[in-house]
Amino acid sequence: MTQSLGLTLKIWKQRGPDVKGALQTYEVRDISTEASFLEMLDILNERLVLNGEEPVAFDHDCREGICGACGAVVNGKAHGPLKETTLCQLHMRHFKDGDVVVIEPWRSRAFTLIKDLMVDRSALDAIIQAGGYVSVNTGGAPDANAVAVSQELSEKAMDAAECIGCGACVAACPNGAAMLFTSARVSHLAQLPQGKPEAKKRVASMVACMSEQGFGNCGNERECEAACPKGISITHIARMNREFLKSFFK
Amino acid sequence: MALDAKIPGGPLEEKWDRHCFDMKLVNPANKRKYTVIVLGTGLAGASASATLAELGYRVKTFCLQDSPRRAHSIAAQGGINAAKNYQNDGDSVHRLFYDTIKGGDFRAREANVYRLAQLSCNIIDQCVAQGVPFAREYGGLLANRSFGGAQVSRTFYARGQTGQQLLLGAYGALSRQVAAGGVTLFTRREMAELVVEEGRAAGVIVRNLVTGELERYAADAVVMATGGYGNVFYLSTNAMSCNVSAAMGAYRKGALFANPCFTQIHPTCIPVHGEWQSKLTLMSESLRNDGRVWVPKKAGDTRKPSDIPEGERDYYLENKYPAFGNLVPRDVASRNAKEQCDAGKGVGATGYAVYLDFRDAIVRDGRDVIQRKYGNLFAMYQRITDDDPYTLPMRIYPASHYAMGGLWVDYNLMSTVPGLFVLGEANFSDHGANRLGASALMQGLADGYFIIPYTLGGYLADRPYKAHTESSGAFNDAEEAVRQRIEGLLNARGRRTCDDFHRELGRIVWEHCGMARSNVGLDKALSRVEALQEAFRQDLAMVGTAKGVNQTLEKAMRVSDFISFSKVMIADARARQESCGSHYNLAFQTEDHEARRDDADFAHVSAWKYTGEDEAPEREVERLTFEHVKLSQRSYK
Amino acid sequence: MDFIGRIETPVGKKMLMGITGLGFCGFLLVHLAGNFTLFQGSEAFGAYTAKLHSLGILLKLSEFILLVMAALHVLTGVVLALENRAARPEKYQMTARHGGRTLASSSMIYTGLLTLAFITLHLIGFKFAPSSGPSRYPVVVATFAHFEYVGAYLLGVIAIAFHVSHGFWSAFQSLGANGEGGTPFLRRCALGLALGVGVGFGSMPVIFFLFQGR
Repeated sequence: MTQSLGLTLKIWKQRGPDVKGALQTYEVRDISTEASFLEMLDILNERLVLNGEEPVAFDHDCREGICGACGAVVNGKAHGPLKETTLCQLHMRHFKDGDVVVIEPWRSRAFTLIKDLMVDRSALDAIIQAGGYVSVNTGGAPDANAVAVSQELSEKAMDAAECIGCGACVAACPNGAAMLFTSARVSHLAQLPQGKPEAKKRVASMVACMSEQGFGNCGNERECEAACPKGISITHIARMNREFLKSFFK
Repeated sequence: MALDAKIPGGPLEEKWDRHCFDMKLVNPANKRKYTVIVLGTGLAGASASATLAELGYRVKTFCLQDSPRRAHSIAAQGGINAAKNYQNDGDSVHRLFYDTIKGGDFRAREANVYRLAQLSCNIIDQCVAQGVPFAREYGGLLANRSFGGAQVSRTFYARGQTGQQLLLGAYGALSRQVAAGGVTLFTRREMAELVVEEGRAAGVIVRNLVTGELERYAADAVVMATGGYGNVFYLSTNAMSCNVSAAMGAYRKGALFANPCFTQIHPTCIPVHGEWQSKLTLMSESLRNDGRVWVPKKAGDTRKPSDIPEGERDYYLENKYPAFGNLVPRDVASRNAKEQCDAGKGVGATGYAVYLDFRDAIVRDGRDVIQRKYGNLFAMYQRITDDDPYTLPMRIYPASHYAMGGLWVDYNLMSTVPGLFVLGEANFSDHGANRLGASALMQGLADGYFIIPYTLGGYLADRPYKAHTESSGAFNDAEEAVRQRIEGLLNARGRRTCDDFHRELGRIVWEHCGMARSNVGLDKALSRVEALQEAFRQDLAMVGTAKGVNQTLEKAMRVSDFISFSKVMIADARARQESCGSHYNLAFQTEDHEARRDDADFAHVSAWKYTGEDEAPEREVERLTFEHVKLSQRSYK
Repeated sequence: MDFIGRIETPVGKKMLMGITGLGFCGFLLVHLAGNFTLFQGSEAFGAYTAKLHSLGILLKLSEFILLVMAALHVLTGVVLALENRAARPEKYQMTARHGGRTLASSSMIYTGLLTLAFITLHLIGFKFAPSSGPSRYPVVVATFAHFEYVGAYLLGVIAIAFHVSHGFWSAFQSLGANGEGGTPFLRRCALGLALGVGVGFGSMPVIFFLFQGR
């Protein structure tokens, strides 16, 4: 049933990368339990604008959990308390009246803070640019059914391919590593026949790119898997490691 | 100006091949001397960027999100059509062509649609080569499903995330070209102005959404793939940043806006809950393959669905359309849902919802089968509504979803501004008055992978290199215009938020220019929008400065354009004195309450010309001629 | 990228940790098996050590390999820990576990450093201790007669057990030897090994302290 909540929000406010930030406290009232978390922030922001105050800057776009634009650490958890749910799909019914909610941006050396809850995640794009694709030009592809791919393999590749690139894995990783993100792409392509010819080159350069971008190292702590809104498994990290091992041999 | 679609001669089947041969080629060594700007990184923009860079052009690609992978193509669920006929069920290029033309209620160009159907097969090949993990059969070959009322199985899919997988494929190809240096990527940039010099597209002014600075980029051609205008309704299934500003910028510089009143209202969305709601979530219409749509027979029946006996349920789609049942096209399904709700039979707290019930399917196939097919959709529904669709019927209601209208383009996808090409949802070309399910992805990728690489060459082959420079007067003027517009908005110190204006705009157009329209309503809507526009100018609440991140300003710029655009949309709806596809004017209906076309007077594209900010736009007409299909009344009985 | 370049990547370093770590797990098992002869009395233990020393060059080689492994494991571990710290310059104001992290996994660097300290003391105390006779049995008896030694020893063993409880399965994961759905199994194995090592090595000081070597 629809109810309404009052919450104390402590939101990280920071004007830019070079200035100091701090948690700022806001009170919100009459938030419907049917509203999404981002809609709750919308309500706050509309009020702030009406009061002539700076609203809270945050990234968001599709609001249906697929674009990967949104994300914040809510009470210490990337994308908030609900499993396999992006922040935009988190609804306020999962909070209680009077709750104190601490909202912080993704934190990683590789993610420069832009403003408030917005960070620059282009490091993830850089990892894909390092090799997260099959090198085929447009045109000249053989008939789509020319190569059979077992249903099982295709499904497993799809498990990895579901990654939305939100960066929650990095945010949740105690070491700020991007292993789950990178492995999802590596694992997706390494399993398919289309991705095999350049599998070794791909994994080597994507792995090297991770550290160049300033991400940390994997501690196998499984926080990434637990935080991933798409439930991507660390099995893919193991597969990436296996692929990397293969790349030692010509 | 006569609208010449430049449709090549020859038989329908050979037009595209002949045209490709007839177009001049750019010498491979010279391609690198041309700079091409691509705006947008959805399916059309990403595929065009990658392909043009592969050919050797210098490509500058812009997106307003933080990464090209976030473009809203990513949210397409259902699938992508292709006339592969892998299922041996009678599909062919001609059938896909025919279905698309008919589905669009005979308001699309034959030649364009035929080309689309031809290229559909190449798209699937290309995507599979990129490693897109389409669903497969046990034998390892690609699986298909029937989708959106098609009577053949021609839809390829990757779980419920086909758009995501196709976009990630194109994003991969784009990333590869970024690494290779062929594409320079500019993220968090939004087009603020199209620069036109000597009548040709010469570049763009973009606003850097991080620094707030205005940046100039000159090019030999501009390719716009900036998506649709569905957010004019405020609540839609579009992403929050989807906007019409780039298209409106081009429109103000002389590009015609075609068929803006053709907007698709998707029937299976999660209904509105409250005033604060920011968006609507679509659920794949594949749900209609197994779910049965119904409402209580009695108006105002507030019983729980489980308490309503079988005899008191109205399975209105099945009753009304025995042949297609729940699988009637989107416009028909949406309109019928609205009719039921308007008659007081709507369900849920607001009365604006109908049931989509899986009870019978679960009994027939078992919960496991249904879970395997729709598990992720059910989970999404439950996450949002907190209701369990395995035990309670889903509540659904139509929502704005896709824009068939868009900037007018010729057969080469070039707008009326030479050098400005428009791809994907941003153009108007292929879907007529109603788009069939799983055809949007097909069109975006056909445009980007297979059409623009040819037609752009045809345009550039005659052009000198680097004809435009960023220091020219045209760029100065364009930048100054943007600066003034931004200053105007920043000076506002009113008492209504941008969202508030947007919500009101949405209510006006949803009410009067949505699923059902009337001349009286449209006239009322126009005057209400004009009043709203005035209020927007007077009473907008604004904070912040032009420097740095200012999401309030971004929003205000977009909403301002939505308001201007809605006037063109309303004018178009008013001028089209017929019903066709998604455009349903209550005065023009058949005895069965279907859309009644007027092929004698309206078998045309209406293209609107900008005449000034507060002036009524001028209508130009491109006549549509049908040589290969017989115009018939759509019937889904 | 050359071989060293590959080793220097995040995955390469973790592989190095994994290989050396698994080597130590093997060593722990052999060491434990040998040390159980302590419970059979001075003679049995003497026979075992004599047998070991009779290996001659092989023993020296093994010791050298262990030393190299230790150097690699420790150095890489410290480098990883420092890099990880640097990867998040601004900490969260509020932290919470997402459901993957355990006490053992979050304390690897600390249990690792404790283990290093323990092994150093252990080597000084037993391996390089001045000894009156051919057997080290009396050294063991003498050492474990002291409460503080027993305490320190137990602390070290607990550190090792914790380290192994995460490190063992983690090594398989880092080496890519964790297949689909293999994580729960490997984690149970790691827990089993940690218990074995902990109880096995932990029992020695306790029993010697209580019963003075019977």
